[in-house]
Amino acid sequence: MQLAVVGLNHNTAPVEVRETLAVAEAVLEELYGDILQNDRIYEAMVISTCNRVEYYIVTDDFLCNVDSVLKIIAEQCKIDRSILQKYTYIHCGEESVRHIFRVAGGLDSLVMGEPQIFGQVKDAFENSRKFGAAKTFIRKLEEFVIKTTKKVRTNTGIGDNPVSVSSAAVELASKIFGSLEDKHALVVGAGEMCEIACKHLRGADIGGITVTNRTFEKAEKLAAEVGGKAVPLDQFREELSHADIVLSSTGASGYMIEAADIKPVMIKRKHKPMFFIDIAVPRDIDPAVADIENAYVYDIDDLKAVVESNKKLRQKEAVKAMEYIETGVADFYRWVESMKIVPVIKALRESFDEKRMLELDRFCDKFKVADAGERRKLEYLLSAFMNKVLHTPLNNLKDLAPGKERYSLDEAVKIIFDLKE
Amino acid sequence: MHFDFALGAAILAFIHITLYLFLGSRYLQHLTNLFAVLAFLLFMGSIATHWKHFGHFPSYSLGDLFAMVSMTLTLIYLILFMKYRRPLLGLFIFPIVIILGALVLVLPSAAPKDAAGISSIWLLIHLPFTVIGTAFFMFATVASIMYFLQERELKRKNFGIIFKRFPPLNQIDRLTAVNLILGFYFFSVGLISGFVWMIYEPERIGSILPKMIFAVITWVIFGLITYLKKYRGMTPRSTAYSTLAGFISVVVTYAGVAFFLMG
Repeated sequence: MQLAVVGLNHNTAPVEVRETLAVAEAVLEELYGDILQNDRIYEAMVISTCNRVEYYIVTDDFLCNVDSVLKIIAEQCKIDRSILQKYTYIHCGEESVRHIFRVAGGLDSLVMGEPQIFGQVKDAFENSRKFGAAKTFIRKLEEFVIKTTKKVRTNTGIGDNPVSVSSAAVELASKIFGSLEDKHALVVGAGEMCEIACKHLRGADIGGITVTNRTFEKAEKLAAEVGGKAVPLDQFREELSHADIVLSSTGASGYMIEAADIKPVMIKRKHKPMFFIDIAVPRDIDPAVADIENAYVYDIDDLKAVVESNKKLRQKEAVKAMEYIETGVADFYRWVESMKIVPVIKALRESFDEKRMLELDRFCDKFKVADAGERRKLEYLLSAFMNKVLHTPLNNLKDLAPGKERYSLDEAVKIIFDLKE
Repeated sequence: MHFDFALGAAILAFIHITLYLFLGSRYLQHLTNLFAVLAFLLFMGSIATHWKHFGHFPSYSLGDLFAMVSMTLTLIYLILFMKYRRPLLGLFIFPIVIILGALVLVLPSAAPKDAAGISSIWLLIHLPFTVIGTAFFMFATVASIMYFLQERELKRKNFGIIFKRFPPLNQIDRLTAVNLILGFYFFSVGLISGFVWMIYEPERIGSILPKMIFAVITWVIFGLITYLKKYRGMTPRSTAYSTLAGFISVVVTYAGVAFFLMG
């Protein structure tokens, strides 16, 4: 049995194709039913996010069965097979296991190292179990994926350095103020960028947010969304002395905040640091503000530079992450190899059990043992003896099964039965 | 012998904190603290051995004083680490400990033949309080330098090692303020007890006066910085420059006076 994956993602397919193939939770039960109708597909799991749709199957004939999965997808999504084949990738065996580890660790994501995908992969495993599509292989795979991804996220900095403009701004604010819990932000503008930035600031547990905008209603709406207060645009300068962070993104043609506005504010604030984030083009904050002591001004280009540098850092961390993933894949395959011996162990036990019962019956007939209690005692004795005899060889078989070593017959017997030279 | 090992441990702590700055591994941070604890214990052991050997607390030479300052700096580093988790203070403090330690090895440390130990309770108060106060002032200076460096990175938009490893500006500023207040408190008590001691032993005024004058100058500088910072909102950059001036005054008080004015 081996794992195979057929799927598409942001690198291989445009959004129109991805949205056509996206799997709604409502159809999952039916979909799993269709996939498992194929006798040669033993287990399955489907991951569907905005950037990827992937079908994982456990099968013994991957070429033939991947084809059947493609057929199901084409029928389900009413899409031509040739179009589907154009955008999909197929991995099999170790490569497919490596792929799921990479996906869960965020190494295959559009934003490298993003953490949400781990939750989505865990949900996919849970759904597979819920609809009876996960048995031994997928369940064990889930265990290894979770364990390895946790290691990746804990021991590498894959998710440490923010790679969006808003989160980079929040990181910079943390570098100035440490905790933002007792800090106040003044947001000038109520457009999309301000909205995203406000949410990031809220996520960083900022003490308070004041929103101002040319259209006061919009300011009120955004303030209500982020649990802040709104002030009319003509009054926002009065709020400056309370603001530790000033974020501006308006469509104004001139500067909204000039150096002359900030100098008296700084005296009023006893020179406590102020962080200005200017994400407007043309700029809202006079660059001369940066010349004032303890005022830090970052415009959109500065923040983009931070993002680019952080992306490079994440790339470096991805190399470290891959080391953990390779270890995870190797560990998982050791388990897979050890599983190959399970039918042999099972058959051996059954054969011994059969012989044990046969000998017991023969003994009871020969020596006329009719008492049920006596028979149970004999059965216990034989069973204990058999377990004792089988314990060492079965353990050795399990331990040695994943290894690649070759032994001669006499060597194998000596090793399995722990025989001394 | 204890002192040599203590100095060795301080050097190892410095090496590990420097590696931590570049590599950022937590193990290096733990090793730094381990060597700092070791250095502190060995400094203490060295002072205790010295005490036992001469039969009284070693407080007669500049070497004795530097040994005490080295031990106190290491101890305060450990206390501040436990409270604020900022190991990079050690990047600046351990070199001071190492320099002072090296001077201890060079300077003569034998007590005068007629030394009879600390004769006055006022000297017993003066000595540790002044040393602890000085150590806190040194930490305030170090924190100011760190602020200065981190602020420069943020202004220049340079996101290198300093930006990544140094603490946020607000935390460094708080560290400076805490060290200034604690330093001022201990140094004030040390200075007052020193004055009282002088009243009781007026025959020593002549030899101690230059040191006392510079100690008062140090006290005034740091007192002024503490006041301006707490009540007048002194800017962190001005604080950094002022604490550096105060640090120079500390150096002059301890070393300059002793070397050149024979205090």
